[in-house]
Amino acid sequence: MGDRGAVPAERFSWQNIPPEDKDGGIVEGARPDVTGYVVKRLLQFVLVLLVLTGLVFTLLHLSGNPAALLLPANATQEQVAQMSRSLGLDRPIHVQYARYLANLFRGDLGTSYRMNLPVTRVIAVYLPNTLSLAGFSILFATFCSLILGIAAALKRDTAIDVVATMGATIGQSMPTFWLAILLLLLFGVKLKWLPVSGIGGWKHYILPMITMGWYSTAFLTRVIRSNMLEVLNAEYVQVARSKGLHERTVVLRHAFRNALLPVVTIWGLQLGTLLMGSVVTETVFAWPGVGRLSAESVLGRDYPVVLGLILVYGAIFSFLNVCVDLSYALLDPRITYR
Amino acid sequence: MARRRAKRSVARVFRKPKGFIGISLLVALLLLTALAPVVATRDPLQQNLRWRNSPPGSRLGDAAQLSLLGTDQLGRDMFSRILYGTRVSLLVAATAVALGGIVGTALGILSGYVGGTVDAVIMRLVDIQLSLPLILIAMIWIAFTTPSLLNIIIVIAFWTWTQYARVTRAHTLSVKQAGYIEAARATGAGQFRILLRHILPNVFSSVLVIASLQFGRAIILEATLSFLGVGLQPPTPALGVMIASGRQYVDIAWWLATLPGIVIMLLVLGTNLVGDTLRDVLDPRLR
Repeated sequence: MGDRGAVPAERFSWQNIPPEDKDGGIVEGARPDVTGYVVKRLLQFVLVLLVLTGLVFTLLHLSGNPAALLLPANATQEQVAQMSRSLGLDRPIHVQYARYLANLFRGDLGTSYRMNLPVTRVIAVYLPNTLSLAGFSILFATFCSLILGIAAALKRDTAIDVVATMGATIGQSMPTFWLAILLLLLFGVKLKWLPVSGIGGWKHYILPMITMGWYSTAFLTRVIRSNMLEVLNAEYVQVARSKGLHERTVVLRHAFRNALLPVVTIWGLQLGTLLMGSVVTETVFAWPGVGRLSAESVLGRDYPVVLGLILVYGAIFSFLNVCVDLSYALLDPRITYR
Repeated sequence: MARRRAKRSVARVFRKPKGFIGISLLVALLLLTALAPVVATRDPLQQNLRWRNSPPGSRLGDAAQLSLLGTDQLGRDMFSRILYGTRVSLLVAATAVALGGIVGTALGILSGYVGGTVDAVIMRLVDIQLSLPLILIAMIWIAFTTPSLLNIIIVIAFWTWTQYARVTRAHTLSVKQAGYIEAARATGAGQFRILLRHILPNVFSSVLVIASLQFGRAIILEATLSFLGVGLQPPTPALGVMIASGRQYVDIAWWLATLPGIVIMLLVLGTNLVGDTLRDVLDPRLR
């Protein structure tokens, strides 16, 4: 998960001051090297995944023979040995890992022990469900927190502000899995308004979406509120006001855009929170996504699926992190990449 | 002098409404858990199937003894289980936060003070960790070793050290250039002495703020791992385990899953409020 309540990090090299030439003038056309930056991140990502899969591979294989777990409890030694042989588990570990990597480059992630299907196919079935749920959760969180945060900042110290701030503080203190059960109890069991498990029409999305977006909503509301308060007092906003601009124009055109930059940073850090949220949310609501799949695969010792999920999660994480970093350049032209 | 400053900070935290509510919440919860053997006389592990799923406020047994928060699916007293579960949560969170804090601070100071390759390696590790699916790694680590108390503490500490490292590194970098460090060096102070006596005290308030904010996070992490079945195991009275097993009875016995969650929420809320106020008082830069 991302750093809860973390300080927005400087996760890349940036310079607030434009590069200067010898005369102290600003160099024209000092274009950011986006390609170089992306390539660097990509190489780092490949290296990390190699090390990580290697470590997980070792850990998984040191912890016991999965063949024994796949067979019924009364299986003989011979049957276990035969199962190990057929899965290739009797080879030395470095041979197994080399073979895994070789297959990986061909796009083959192995076969799931529990489902007896190619891992790529399993993930291809489960992943879209998680992505759609996560997408809706992010939209939900962004929408709600923007409204609450901006309203609280504009109506500082009124009832709206107090309710939004207090709600956010309490909301941040609730464990996701507990919130899921509360929602399930209230809207599913007591009121019977919404379905409580599985996937289907739009109604199935509501409770999981709220659960998954809850923490981010609470967190972002507080961040947006304090950013807006800071920006609303800035000189350029005062100037915009003194020019006689409409208050709505001042807020939307001048304050809002500048308050958004730190939000993007935190958005990046929220991705980890969402991931943890997906494991918990999908487990409670029996949502057929990769979050629930990872919990089940780890507990069921389905190594190939676990390794595949780490690769997929790592890829999504890195991709989104790069997107977040690049979006700074769009929002704040002062930032360049090294 | 440092002690007087610390005292003044505590007083300032206490004077702010947020800090006051936070401290009161925590003190109340700590008192209750500390006094668990006195206030909760029932054994949290004692089953009694005749009493199972009794709602809060039931009077049970021949003596019609009041069961304040009811009983669970095995007839165990919820009040006792929640108090003892809170003890476990506090123990795990405190140890994990201390461990993560010590490791993270040490690496952060080292990174900032030594610089060069050491700095590059440590900061790269921080970068890498931020791009890892930590929940998955935590689950794998615990599921494939053993879900012991120690392993859970290690996983949570591993999860939290990066923030200390980043912040203390930044502070060390700015403190390193100060005149008094040079003065200390000029008087012949060794490297270790400079780190311990001059740099550490300067980053300490930030470390304290982070630790207070991480404490709530550690409680939630422990509960989540226990809920997912890779944390503390039944029959240990852990809050996450109680919610997980109460989930199946949510339609007939709402108190099983809801009550332990309220305690987690209050604990986390208390530490977050104290942490927020501490940050405002000690280290506004962290905002």
